Amino acid sequence: MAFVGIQLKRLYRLVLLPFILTAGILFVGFLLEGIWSPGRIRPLMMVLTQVPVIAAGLSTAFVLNGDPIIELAESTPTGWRKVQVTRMLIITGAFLTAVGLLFIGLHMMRLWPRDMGWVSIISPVGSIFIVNCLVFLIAVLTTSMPTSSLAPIAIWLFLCFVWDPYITDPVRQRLIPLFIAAAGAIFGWNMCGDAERNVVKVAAL
Amino acid sequence: MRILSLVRITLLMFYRRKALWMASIPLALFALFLAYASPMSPGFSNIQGLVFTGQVLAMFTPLAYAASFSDLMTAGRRTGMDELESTSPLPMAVIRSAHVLGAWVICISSSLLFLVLIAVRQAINGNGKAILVALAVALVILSPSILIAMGISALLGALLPTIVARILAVLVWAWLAFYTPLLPLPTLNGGPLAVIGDPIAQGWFHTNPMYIPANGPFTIQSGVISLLWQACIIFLLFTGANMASNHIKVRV
Repeated sequence: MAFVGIQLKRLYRLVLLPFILTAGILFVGFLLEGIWSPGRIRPLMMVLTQVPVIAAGLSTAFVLNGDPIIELAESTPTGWRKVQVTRMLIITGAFLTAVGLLFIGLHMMRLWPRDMGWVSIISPVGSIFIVNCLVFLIAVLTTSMPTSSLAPIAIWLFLCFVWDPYITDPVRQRLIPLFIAAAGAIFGWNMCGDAERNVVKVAAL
Repeated sequence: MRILSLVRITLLMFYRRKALWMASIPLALFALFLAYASPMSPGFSNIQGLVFTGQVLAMFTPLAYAASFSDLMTAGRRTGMDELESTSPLPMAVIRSAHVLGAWVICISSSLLFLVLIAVRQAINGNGKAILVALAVALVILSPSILIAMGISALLGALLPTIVARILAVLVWAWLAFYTPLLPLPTLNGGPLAVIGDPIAQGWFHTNPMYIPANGPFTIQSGVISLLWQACIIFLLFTGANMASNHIKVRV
């Protein structure tokens, strides 16, 4: 746990980001609730609720790349994989909690777009989980910051514009990509355990 | 001659970033799917379809490029590479432009590849002009949009903390490219200052614009104005990013 604490201390500003976003979006919803009709607020919320997904992917790409001391981490009993996975879990956990709060807030205000009851929570939570798992895989594969920041946007584009409009059942909409993403994350987990690969990648950069 | 060799070296440097190529191909594919599935789509079998596809690529792919180039101007500064570069006989402005050019080549090449493939299919079916149109679309519609997105990313990346810059750059591009009358936001779309190629597409290629122009259809002149305006923005963005990156602290 002390190890998680150290990483948390390093990333605390980034952990605050999703909660600031949630608070901001809820505030906008609260402010507009009396002024605009729900039919007018929902499209705005449809846009705003995508912001945490993009932010989650970019934050994960940011924390998983650009650490200059991979070699040092590999030379200790901790290992680089534990560092990477802890960082990813901290960011993912923060974003999942924040987006859960966001959903509860907007659901209570009846402002969540395409609300189908509590099952709709799977939509934002699933997106963030999918994006983060795949970003983890891509960060491990490429160890390059521009590429792993490009990836979450590409995945989000796919989910938001290609997948969601055609698969409308909320459970199937998230579960199928969720399994693919989880498989990708396991693949990344295996690859990240290869100490030699991690160190050689740094040297080649 | 020196400049040519510099461009060659920069291209080689970016050619080595294979991961970026790999990531930009699915991105262009998603945009192609959107162009194909859109209810506004004129199909892939005529000039209109080619221009429409170019515009969809110019709206969606820069979202990702806006996210990924926040260190375009600052990476060299942080590692001290710029000190090495400043000892070379070329002016810094040329070197910086070469960096931008190299990144731009990666960004545009996957989109260009797909546009040319569509054009080749059209050419085989007897539309001889298609390949020229594809190249023109890539040059006057796609590249300004990509360069603007990269410029926004580079400027914000030099001014703000990385992660804030990335998220903001995506949002700024989303604001520039998409517009719905449901939201009371001011927009450039519908006027000659749009950055997604509407004035050029309608003025020069006679296609239907993405957003209905506010003051009557675009003419050839509005296409020229649009291109000059976009060139100005690109110049200002990169100059600004370059100036802002001069104030970044060097990691010693």
